[in-house]
Amino acid sequence: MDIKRHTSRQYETELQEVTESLLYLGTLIEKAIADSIQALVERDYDLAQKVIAYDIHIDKLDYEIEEKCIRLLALRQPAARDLRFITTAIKINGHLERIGDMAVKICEKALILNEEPQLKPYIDLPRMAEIARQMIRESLDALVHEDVDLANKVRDEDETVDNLNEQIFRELLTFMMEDPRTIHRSLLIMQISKTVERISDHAKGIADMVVYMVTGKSVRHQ
Amino acid sequence: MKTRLFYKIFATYLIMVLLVMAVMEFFLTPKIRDTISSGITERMIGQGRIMALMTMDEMVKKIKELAAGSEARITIIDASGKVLADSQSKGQEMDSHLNRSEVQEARLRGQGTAIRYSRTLQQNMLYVAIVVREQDHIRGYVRLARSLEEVSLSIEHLYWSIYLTLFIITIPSLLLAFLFARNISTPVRRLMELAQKIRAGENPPPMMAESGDELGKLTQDINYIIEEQQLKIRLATEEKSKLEAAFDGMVEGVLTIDRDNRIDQFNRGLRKMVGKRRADILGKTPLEVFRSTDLQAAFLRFRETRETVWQEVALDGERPLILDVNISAIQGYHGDEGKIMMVFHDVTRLKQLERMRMDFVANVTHEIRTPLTAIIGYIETLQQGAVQDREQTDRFLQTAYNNAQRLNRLVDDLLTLSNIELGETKMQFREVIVAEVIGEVLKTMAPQAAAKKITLEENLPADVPLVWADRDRVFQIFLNILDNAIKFTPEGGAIKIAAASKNSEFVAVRISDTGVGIPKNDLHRLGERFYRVEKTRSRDSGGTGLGLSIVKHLMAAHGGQMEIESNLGQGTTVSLYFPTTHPPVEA
Repeated sequence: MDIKRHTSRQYETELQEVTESLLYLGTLIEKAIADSIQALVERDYDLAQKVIAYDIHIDKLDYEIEEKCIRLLALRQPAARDLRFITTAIKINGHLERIGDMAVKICEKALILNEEPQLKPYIDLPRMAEIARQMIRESLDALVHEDVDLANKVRDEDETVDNLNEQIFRELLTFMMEDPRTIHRSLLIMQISKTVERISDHAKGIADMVVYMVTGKSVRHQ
Repeated sequence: MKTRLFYKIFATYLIMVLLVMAVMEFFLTPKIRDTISSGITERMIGQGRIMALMTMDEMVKKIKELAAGSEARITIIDASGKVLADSQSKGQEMDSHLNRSEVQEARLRGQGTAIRYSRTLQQNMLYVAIVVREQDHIRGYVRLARSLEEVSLSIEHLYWSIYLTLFIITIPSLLLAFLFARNISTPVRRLMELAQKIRAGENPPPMMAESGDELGKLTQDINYIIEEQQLKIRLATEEKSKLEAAFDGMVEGVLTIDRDNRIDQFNRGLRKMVGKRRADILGKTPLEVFRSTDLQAAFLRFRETRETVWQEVALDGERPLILDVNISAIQGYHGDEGKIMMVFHDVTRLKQLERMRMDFVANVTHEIRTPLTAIIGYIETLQQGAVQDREQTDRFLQTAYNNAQRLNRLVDDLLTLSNIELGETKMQFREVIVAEVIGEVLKTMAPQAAAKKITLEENLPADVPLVWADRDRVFQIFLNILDNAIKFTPEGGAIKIAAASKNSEFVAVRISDTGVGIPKNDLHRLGERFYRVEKTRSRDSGGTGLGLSIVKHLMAAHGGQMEIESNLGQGTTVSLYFPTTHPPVEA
C-alpha cells in the first residue's frame, strides 16, 4: 500500500504489517504444499509428519493476522481503500488458513498411501501442485503490487488445474477397472488430487479479492 | 540593466554634491553677506574720516566732488543738527538730523552706523556718520549714506560666480560618479550572473579579470573556485560512476534497506538473482521481493540484535538458487544510520559440488560393500559346512567369484576415472577412422544385443573425416555407450548408430536407442559418478555406475563433447563430438 501515504505513520506501519504477515503466511503455506507433495512422491514419512506438526504455527499466524485486522477496523475506522484492503486481508487470511489445512490433509493421505506399495509414479500430481503453489505466490504478488493483470492471470490458471484433476481422475478410473485391489489407493490419490484442485480454487479466491481491492468491483462467481 | 549597486553609488555622489550646495546656501551665505557689508561700512567710515579732516565750509563747497569720489550720498550737518548741504537734495530744506541714531552715536563716540529705511530715497540705506572737530570742539558731522541694494547686488554677483563654479564642478563629478559606479557595478553584476549560472548547475567559462584591484582579485578567486569546484565535481562523478560500475559489476547481489524496511538500492547482480523488474524490487520489503521465510527470519533477527547475520536461503524460482546471505548495518556513512545492507552470494554450484562429493563417498562405500557382503556371506556359508555339498560349493564359489569380479571391475573403473581426471592416462593420439572402431565395438556387443533381440543399425558414410584420438579410448567410449544402450533397451528394441561431420572441426556420432529414456531432471546429472536415474535399475543390470562418467571424462580429454537427449519411455540419444584436428588438451 505505497501509493498513498497516511498522515499517521503508525497507521501506515500497521497496514504494512498486515501485508507482511500475509506474505509470510503465504510463504509458509507454499512451503507446506511443496513439502506435502514431496512427502507423497518420495514416500517420506518424516516430512509428512513435520508438515502436519507445523500446522499449529500456521493457525497461530492466521489468528494473529485476524486480530490485527480487527484491531485496525476498531481503532482506525478505515474508509474507502483502506477498508477494502483490510476486509480483503481478512478474507485472504481465511483462504490461506484453509490451504494450510489442505496441505495437512494431503500429508495424512500420503501417510496412509505409504503403507501400501506405490500404485504408479506421480507425474501429473506434482505438476498440478506446482501450478497451485505458483498461483498462491502470484496472487500474493498481485496483492503487493496491486496488479490486476497478474490477478486475472491467476484466475485463468484455475482452469489448467481443473483439467489436470480430470485427467488424473480418468487415469485412476482405468486402474480401478483393471484391478479392484488398487481401488483403495486410487481413491486416496483421487482425494489428494481433489484437494490440490481445491487449493487452486482458494488461490483463485485470493486473486478475486485482489481484483476487488484494487478496482472495487467484485469478480467472484463470474 | 543597471544594478541597484550602480544607483546606490551614483545617488551617494548626487547627495554629496547637493549637500555641499546646501551647506553653502545656509552656512556660507550669511557669512559672506556679513563680510561684504562690513567691508563697505569700513570703507565708508574711512572715507568719512578723511572728509572730516576738511573744514565744514570746504566740504559744503566741494560736496559734489566728494559724493562722486565716494559713490555715496553725503550730508553735511552742523553741530546743532542743521543740514548745511546734501549731495542729492537741497540741504536747507531738510529738518534737523541731530536725533538720527548714527549722528547721536557719532556725537558720543566719534563715529556711528545705522541701517534704516529712508523715506527720502524709499529704500534700505546704510548710514555712516563721522564727527568733525576743530580744537576739541564739535563743528558738525559728515554723513555718508549708501543704498543697501547696491550691497545685495554685489553679493548676488559673487553668488553667481560661486554657483557657476559649483555647477561646473558638479557636471564632471557626476559624470565621474556615473563612470565609477558603472566600473564597480558592471563586474559585480557579471560576477552575480556567473554565480547564478553556477547555482543553476551550468558550467560557465571562467571570467576575464579586467583590473588588478580587489574586484579583479575577487574575479580571479571566483574563477579559481569554479575550476576547483568543477574538478571536484568531475572527480566525484568519476568516483561515483566507478563505484556504481563496481557495484553493478559485482557477481554478488547487494541491496540496502532504509529505515522503513524498504529496499532503496540494489545492483544488477541482485536483479539477475531475483529475476524481477526494477520497479518490483525498489521500494518493496525483502519479504515482498524474496518470499523467503528463512530470509525474513534472519532479517527480523538482525533488526532485533543489530548483529551481523549469515543465513543460507533457498529460493525456488525458475532456477532454484541457494544463496548465502549476509545482513549487516551500514556503518560510517553519515545520514544513513539505521540502514541495512544485504549481500547475497550464489552458492548453488558450490552446494551442488558438495553434495556430489558426499554422494560419491556414500556411493563408493555402498558399491564396494554390496559385492563384499555377498562374498563374505557365501564364504561364511561354506565355512559352516556347505563345503561338503559339492554342488552347492560350486554354485557358491561361482557367485563369490562373480561378485569379486564385479568388485574388480569397479576398482578398475574407479582407477581409470581417477587417472583420466588426474591426467595420468597417457593418450596415444593419432588419426582414427571412427567407422572402423564402431565396427569392432558392434562385433563385440553383437552377442549381447542378439540375446535381447535388439537390432543394431549403422549408418556410417565413408566420407566422414578422420578424427584425432586415442583409438583404444574411443573403443572404450563406444563400448560404454553401447553397453548402456543395450542395457536400457527392452527386448525387441533397436539401436541406431550414425556418424556425420558436424562442421569442419567435429565429427558427430549419434547413438539412439528405443529404451526407457531418462527424466529431464536427471539429464544434467548423468555424468556424475554413481549417479543412477533410478536407484535400483542399473545395478540390476550389472553396471558399476561409472560408465557414463568415464565417457564424459574421456570425451573431455579428447577435446570433444557428449550431449544426451532423452524422452521418457521413448528412448535416448547420445551425441558424441570428436575433434578432427589436434585436440586443445594433450593429456
